[in-house]
Amino acid sequence: MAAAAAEATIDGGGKMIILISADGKRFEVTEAVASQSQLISNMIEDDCTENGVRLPNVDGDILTMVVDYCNMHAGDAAADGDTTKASSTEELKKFDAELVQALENPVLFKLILAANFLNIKSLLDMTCQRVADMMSGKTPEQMRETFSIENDFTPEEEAAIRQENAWAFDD
Amino acid sequence: MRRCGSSSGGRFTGGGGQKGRWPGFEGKRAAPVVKWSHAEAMKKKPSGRGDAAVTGDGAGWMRRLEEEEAGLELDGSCWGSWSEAAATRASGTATGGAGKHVRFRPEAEAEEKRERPFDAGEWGGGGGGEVGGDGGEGRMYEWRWTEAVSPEILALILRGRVDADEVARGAARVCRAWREAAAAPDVWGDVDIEAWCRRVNCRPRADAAVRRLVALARGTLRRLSAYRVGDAALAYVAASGKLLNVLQIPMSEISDQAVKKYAECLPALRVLDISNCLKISSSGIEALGRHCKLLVQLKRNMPPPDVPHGYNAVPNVVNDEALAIANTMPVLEHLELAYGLFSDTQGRSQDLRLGGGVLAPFGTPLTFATGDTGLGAILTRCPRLQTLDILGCWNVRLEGDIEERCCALESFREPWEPMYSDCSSTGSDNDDDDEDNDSDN
Repeated sequence: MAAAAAEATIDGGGKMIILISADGKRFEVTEAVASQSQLISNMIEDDCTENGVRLPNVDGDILTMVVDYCNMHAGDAAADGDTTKASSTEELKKFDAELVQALENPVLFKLILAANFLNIKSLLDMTCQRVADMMSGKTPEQMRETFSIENDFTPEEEAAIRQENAWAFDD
Repeated sequence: MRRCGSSSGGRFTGGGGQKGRWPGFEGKRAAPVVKWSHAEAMKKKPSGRGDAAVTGDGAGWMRRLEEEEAGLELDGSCWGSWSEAAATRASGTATGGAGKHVRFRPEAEAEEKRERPFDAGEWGGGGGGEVGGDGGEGRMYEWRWTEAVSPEILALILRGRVDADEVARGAARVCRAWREAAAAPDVWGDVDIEAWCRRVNCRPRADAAVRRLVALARGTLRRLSAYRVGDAALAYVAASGKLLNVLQIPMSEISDQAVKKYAECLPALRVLDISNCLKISSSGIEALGRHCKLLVQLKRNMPPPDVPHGYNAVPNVVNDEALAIANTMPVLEHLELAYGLFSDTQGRSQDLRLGGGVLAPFGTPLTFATGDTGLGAILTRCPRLQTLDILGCWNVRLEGDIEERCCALESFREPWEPMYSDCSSTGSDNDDDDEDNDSDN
């Protein structure tokens, strides 16, 4: 990856941007890679990335993943005349999906928060879809187990909500 | 991630985070790398509380060992992140490793899935005493969604990704925070209850559901996909339908009267599916066209007739719906009219006969040349049309220049698709076949 990134810099002659995570880790990425984040893309447009971009909401570990993701997907938006790229896009998508599937909840949610904050639509879509898939077809109790949530309803409240949402039940 | 802390954090953050990844990770690949996607490490907990739980009872500790082993196995696979994948790709050795890895992950995940509920129960039960002392709570979980995830994020996840009925049955009943999040109007802006409606298949219940959903959306409804609803549902939608973009209500028992009454309340409508709505006639369609100026997609597929006429018979020719579309929907781009009764034959007596009767009820100033019939009018008056589906429209003969004009569209499905063929074939392939056939004739 490092090699690929370096190449991209040379090829594109793109400016490098420094991203600084909440815990002070620094990531140097090309503009092309960074601008997959709408937030950073806007900052680039406004010319305020000179001194590095501080991302107080994103931990270094999560930013590592985000930068990895952006590096892998840097070519997506670019010209897809390259056939090897086109064929590998599908593969990459599948790979992304597998990887996201293997994420544990805390990481998954931090990734969602980061993608939301940085406004990286494809990453946000993918991670949110993963959570939606995890909810699919589950009862509230099963969801509590899946997401480690406590049931803080009183039995009366529970009955009231059941009533409120009665329309959605098949029976 | 940083919070995974003392028990297993060293393993995890070391491999998953800073080291060995970005940017100079290639040289360090041989080092024991624990993937950030490796779940077990994260599972252990935020803050210090997890340790208490883990050491709280013997069973927990045993589990931990097992997990450690599982972790070691995982370490054996070659990639764990996008960057590793990239490196492997870049070096041209992707295929072998990829296949192995890709198959490996889901297994690991499935295993966790199986075990996790057990874990939670175990920690909550067996380690309950200790945990209670530590966290001041009766039940211990390693990580709390409700603390970490804002209602906005949950809304983001639910919106358009989880069916509305499923949210109401599931997510909204999980806990207070979720209930609150699920009550946010933007969760209900994009509502698809078609599958649920089909399952229930009961108009009064579907109407009641729409009423409830419209209330939840509080004026933000942009899309509604339902099935077999009635006038009441349309009334509810119209009451807060200023933003409604997409309305898909096939098989509905909505009357012309209701359509005429409420069409004006749907000014933003762009996509409409009123397939198999047998009570809507040409006058309802005309009202929709007059009020929904932005309509670009209309689906008005009808049920196949009981006894197929075949295209040599002379069935009823009814052009008024097609003319209503042609007259009032000039910006249409996508039109589906399967099993419509309109025709395209020009100058036939039946057209003249019906044409007079058809035009009168409109009272529109538009006049047609003799024999200007349904399909011809649509092709003339909807210049932006790109997709046209007229499967089963037996009255259409594609004579004169009609065929040429249809085939010039981006996608055209002709009337005579073989009954048992794969219906997915549309567009230019068909057009070509069609042309060949005709030239043979």
